Amino acid sequence: MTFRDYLDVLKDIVVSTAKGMAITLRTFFKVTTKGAITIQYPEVRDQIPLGSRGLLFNDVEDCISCKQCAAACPVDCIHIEADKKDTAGTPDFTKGGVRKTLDLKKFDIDISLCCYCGLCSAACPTDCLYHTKEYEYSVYERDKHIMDYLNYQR
Amino acid sequence: MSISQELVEGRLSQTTENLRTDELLLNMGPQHPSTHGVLRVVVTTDGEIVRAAKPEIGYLHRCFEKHSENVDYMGVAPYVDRLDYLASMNNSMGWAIAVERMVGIEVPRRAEFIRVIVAELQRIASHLLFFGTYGLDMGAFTAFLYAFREREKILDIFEMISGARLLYNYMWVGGVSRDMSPEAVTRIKEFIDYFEPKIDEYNTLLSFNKIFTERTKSVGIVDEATCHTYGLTGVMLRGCGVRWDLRKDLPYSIYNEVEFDVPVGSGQMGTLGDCWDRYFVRMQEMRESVRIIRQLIDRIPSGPHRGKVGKVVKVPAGESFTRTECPRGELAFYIISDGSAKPYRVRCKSPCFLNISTLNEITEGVMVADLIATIGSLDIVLGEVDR
Repeated sequence: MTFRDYLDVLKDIVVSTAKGMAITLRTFFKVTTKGAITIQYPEVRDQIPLGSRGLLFNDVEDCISCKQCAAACPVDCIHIEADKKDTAGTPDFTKGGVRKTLDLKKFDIDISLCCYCGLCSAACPTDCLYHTKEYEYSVYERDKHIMDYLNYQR
Repeated sequence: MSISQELVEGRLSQTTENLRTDELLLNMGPQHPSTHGVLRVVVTTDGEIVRAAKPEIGYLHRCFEKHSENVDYMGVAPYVDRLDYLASMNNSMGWAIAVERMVGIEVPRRAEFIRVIVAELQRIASHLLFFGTYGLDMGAFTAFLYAFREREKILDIFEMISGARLLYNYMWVGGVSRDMSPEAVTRIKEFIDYFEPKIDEYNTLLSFNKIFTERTKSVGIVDEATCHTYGLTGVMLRGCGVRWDLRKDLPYSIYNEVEFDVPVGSGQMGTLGDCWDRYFVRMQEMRESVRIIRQLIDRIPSGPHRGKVGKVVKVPAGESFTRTECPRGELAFYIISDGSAKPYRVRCKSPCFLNISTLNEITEGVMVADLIATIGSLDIVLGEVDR
């Protein structure tokens, strides 16, 4: 490489970088006049669109203990226990009018295992298991991530 | 005796011969920012020269193939999403097509349109991330911010369509999990109109920047013979001038109905098949993806978004090998079914694994800084390398 070639490269570097810097400057002025693209997260929150898959919730009143969600779950994080219902009592129905033939004893979801794939809520015949928009639920103890929906309190 | 005297007497060469040089073993990674994930490269250096670079993988191994033997065909989809987590849509599209071909499910036209649009958006998002991180590897920080600004818009659209931002589980066997709303269609139209001029901006900002081209030209050269030896596909193959794209040559879904070019490397900056060529092929592919979306977005037919599929997908006994074009190369699934609800054996052929396996060969004798440039241009995702 001769000294002249070296100068040519140097010239190219300055010119092409200046072109890039022009774009950066344009963006900079756009941001300063029209406002920033980023948001200050804990104070300002983004709008979560409808149907976003967050924390799971099960409305146990409507659950018929069919265990289809547990079968569909690819990571086996749903644990259901149910007994046969006493037929002598008054028949129990869900809001959709499906008769409950089983007595739900346990409906736990280990949220720390959940992969939010949405296969369980799609399999649910009474639509009682669904994803909420909630996404901030970190806790200090791991056991607290096992959601007991029969005694649900948050 | 001074050095100048030695020079005069021509004895310096003798002195350097007597100097003892030693090779140094250097561990790059697994927490090194330029290795793009948990990759460890054991580099044998001789001064600034790389003598050998051995990639050590397995830090992200999750037994994908064994896991899929224990879940049903629908349940494999979330695992497939997690292979190449930057291009989940393309991955699960491959899986869905593989299972559909075995069962013989017909996918509705509307679902095919949505699939291709979403897969091309994902390709843009994946290439944008490459563009950003490659700039970062080369010491250009601005490009990274620009790329993430655009990628964020795509992720917002995906969240609207599928309900998730990174691991969508959107492409189900027989179609897609949810229908695309008219609002999402408008958002996609807005995005492609906004995005197309930005590609020129990126080219000015980074692609033709002299500092960037000087760092990437004639570095990490992969020639056609190497590609065939290692079985490289995708951008690695196209970067060295071979016009091979499954979307064009063995079209699946509705790729045979759309017009697009297959960009290949030209060697215009240095040697054919160097890092810059691979980089620029990806930049051009983004433009082609926009072209595909533009052709499809206005004529999405109405109809169901999922074909007739039972609650449990039962696949007849047999085997199939299906490959699709992902942003990083050809992803192939080899499925053996014994007729039950779960696959008997699944084999995943990952393009990233093959890309990283060439590292030792193509970086022999280069400088350490060029090794970083080469790893970046391979565009590997460790989730797919290790599976």
